[in-house]
Amino acid sequence: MTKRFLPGKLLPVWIAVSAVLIVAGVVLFSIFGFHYASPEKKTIEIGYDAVVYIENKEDALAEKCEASFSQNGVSFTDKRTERELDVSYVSETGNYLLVYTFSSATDDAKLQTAASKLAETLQADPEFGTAVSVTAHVMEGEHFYEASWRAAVALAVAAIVALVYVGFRFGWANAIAGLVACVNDTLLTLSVFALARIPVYAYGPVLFAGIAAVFSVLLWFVQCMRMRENFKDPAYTSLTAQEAVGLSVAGSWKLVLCFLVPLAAVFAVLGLVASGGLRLFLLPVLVPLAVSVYSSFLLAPAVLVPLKSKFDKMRSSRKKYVGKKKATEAQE
Amino acid sequence: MGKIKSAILLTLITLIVAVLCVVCFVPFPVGGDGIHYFNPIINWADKSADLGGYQYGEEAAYLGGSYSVVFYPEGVISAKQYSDNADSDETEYIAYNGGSVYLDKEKVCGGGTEPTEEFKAAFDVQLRCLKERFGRLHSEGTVLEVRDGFTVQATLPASLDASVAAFLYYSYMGDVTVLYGTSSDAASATQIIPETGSKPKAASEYVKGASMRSNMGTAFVEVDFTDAGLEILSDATSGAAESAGYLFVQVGGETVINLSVSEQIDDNLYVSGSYTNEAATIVANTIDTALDCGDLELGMEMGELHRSEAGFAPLTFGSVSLSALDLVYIACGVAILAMAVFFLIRYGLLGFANILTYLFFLELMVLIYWAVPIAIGAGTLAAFAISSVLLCASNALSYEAARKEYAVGKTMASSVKTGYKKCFWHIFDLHIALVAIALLVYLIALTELSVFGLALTFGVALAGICSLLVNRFLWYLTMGLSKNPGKFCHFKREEVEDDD
Repeated sequence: MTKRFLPGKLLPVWIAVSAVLIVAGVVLFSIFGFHYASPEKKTIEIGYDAVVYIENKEDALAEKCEASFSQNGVSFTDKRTERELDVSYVSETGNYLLVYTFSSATDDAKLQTAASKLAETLQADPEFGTAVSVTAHVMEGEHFYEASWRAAVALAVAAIVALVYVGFRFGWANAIAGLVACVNDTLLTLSVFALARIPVYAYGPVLFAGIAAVFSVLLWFVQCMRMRENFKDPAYTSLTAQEAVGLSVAGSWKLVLCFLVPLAAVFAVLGLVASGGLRLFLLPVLVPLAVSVYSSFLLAPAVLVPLKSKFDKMRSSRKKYVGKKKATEAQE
Repeated sequence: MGKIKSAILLTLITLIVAVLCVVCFVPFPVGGDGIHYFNPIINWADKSADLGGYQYGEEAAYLGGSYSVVFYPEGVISAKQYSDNADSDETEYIAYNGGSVYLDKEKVCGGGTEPTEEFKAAFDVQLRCLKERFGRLHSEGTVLEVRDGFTVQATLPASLDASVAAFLYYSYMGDVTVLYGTSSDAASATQIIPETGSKPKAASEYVKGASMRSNMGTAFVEVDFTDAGLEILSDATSGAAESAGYLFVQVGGETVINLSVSEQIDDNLYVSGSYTNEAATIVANTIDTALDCGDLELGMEMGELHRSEAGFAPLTFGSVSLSALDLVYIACGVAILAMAVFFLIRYGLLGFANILTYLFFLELMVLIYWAVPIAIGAGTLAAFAISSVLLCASNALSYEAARKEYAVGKTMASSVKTGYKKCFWHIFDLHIALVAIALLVYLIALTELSVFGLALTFGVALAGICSLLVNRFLWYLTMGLSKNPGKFCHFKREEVEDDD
């Protein structure tokens, strides 16, 4: 005989799990804060006139630069070519910049040495001579905080509106359970970031908390749709709230996983392939995704069971109520 | 519907989808000279700074990547500028940060070897001002970085039409001044705001702010004056009806608004003309932020303008180099092919209804991205992926609902009708909730998230319409072609056990 999934029974367990993680996260956050990724990056720029001086020698120049970097013990993370434009006509001047980006961990002195050695190498080369200039730079990113807080507000408002819709369409018990899941996911996501020391940008925690809220509502939305459909089935009428919710939730695993596994795979693969800022978004976004799966399958159904029982009782007592006078007459 | 009618209609729809497909995605030569090519809509659509763009046509217009500029505070020069004027500058400048930039010994270092506290404070104000200006652009892909301690590198997406104007205007640092004269040359005009005298006041005493306004598609800049400012302006322009004058609004001594005046000005200034929304925003931001930053004596210069390719490094396979955009197209192609194969295997020839619906959706999305316009970037692609999954999932949901009905013995027409009836509210609820979420995100959030919200709003709304209307209509048409609809859709009846 297969064991039935009874979510309500495990409510104290899920509350304990969430509470422990959130409290631990709050403690760690108050001591260390979030692990913010360094907004710093370092570059070496090689300027050259591609038209007049070193036409068709760009590849040779890049090869020389890269060989020089490896000789001097620095390795770049990204490489791009920038074309200089005339401001008045926005047309190309023929000057190019070959820009190599290095991680923020690269030692400043090492980077300066690599740049000056590269300059020496290129100037000694008759092919390039003085046609190229080499400079090393340290860049520190600035953040537009308005965008960050407005993103968080937008996601929070969207989550609340979706919950109100859930309330109207699927009943207020579902809306309350969804709200609990939403708040839990927001706090739990922030706690996981604080506990696991996952590197994030300055706006990251707020944005990921908002994303967790939206994921949570959407997954709960799917559960609510399934429950509404399942509860119409006559087989469910003989079940208690505990059993009915458990059976419906257990039946929706496949459906939800069909959507989530490819989505998580896309985030993970793109996150591993992408570089820099995009990676710092795509990989951590798996945290709110995982947290919302936990709450929509375990926590929210467990919260829903007592609520549904109470709402069902209220509904049935409302149906039975016929008024005191009529009840006395009926008794007589 | 009869078989012939169904066939004709289906052929017509397929032709329309095919033509749209060519218009949206396929470049082809025109004119027979081997030089001119038809550019598909996807090439015309804006690309964000993260994706590589195209160069096309004689104008070689660029549709992706970004522009960047380095701003140098007065007294700070680049290594290139230093080496260009090495003889004269050698004694005036000192190398900073290993020679990445050079600092004026007197202006920046006060005769010493390190920047003075006054210079650092003034640079902080400049940085705050630039941050406010670029932040207010609310443009996806805007990046601001402090470079080598005392210069600022700004990056804007190439899809922003007024990028170069933004760099130029935003480099203007200093207080706001208003000048009035009878010649179109600002140098001969007289400063009227702030009043020059023994006790000069700040410009913010006369000008409250500036903002971009738009009416009936015309963008204009509104300069909001205080009562004191209006009084001065009214006095200065009192004779404009008789002899026309010229009004100049300057920031840090650079003219940002220049207009001829033919009547007395006694209200706020509404300046229209050839402004686009972006250009008017940039001018208004320049004035408004200059008022906040106060009388800054340190000027700023804009360095060389650079255009860079995609933010992601392209992949190279032997002699073939793939840009980020190429990779996106390949990924989309593979995903669409996988979807088509899955639907054909699972639902037989009914899969064609889904493929046609999806292609129709895809083409409309591309047209929307181009027409709105929405820059194709990470946010747009994420929204497109979510909408596509939603459309295919909704179609599969309706097919499965009909399959269940057919299995219990209903006719195909009845199965489709009941199936759609059963899953209608699921599809509707999911789409309407997502549209509401996406719309709110678009309205409240900024930059990347706002673009994502807008793309998702269109995508989900279109996916809902395509799933509930287009897909059902195409299903109805494809059914008309077959004598055995069950076999056509790979639907089977449930086997009933015979009591005998």
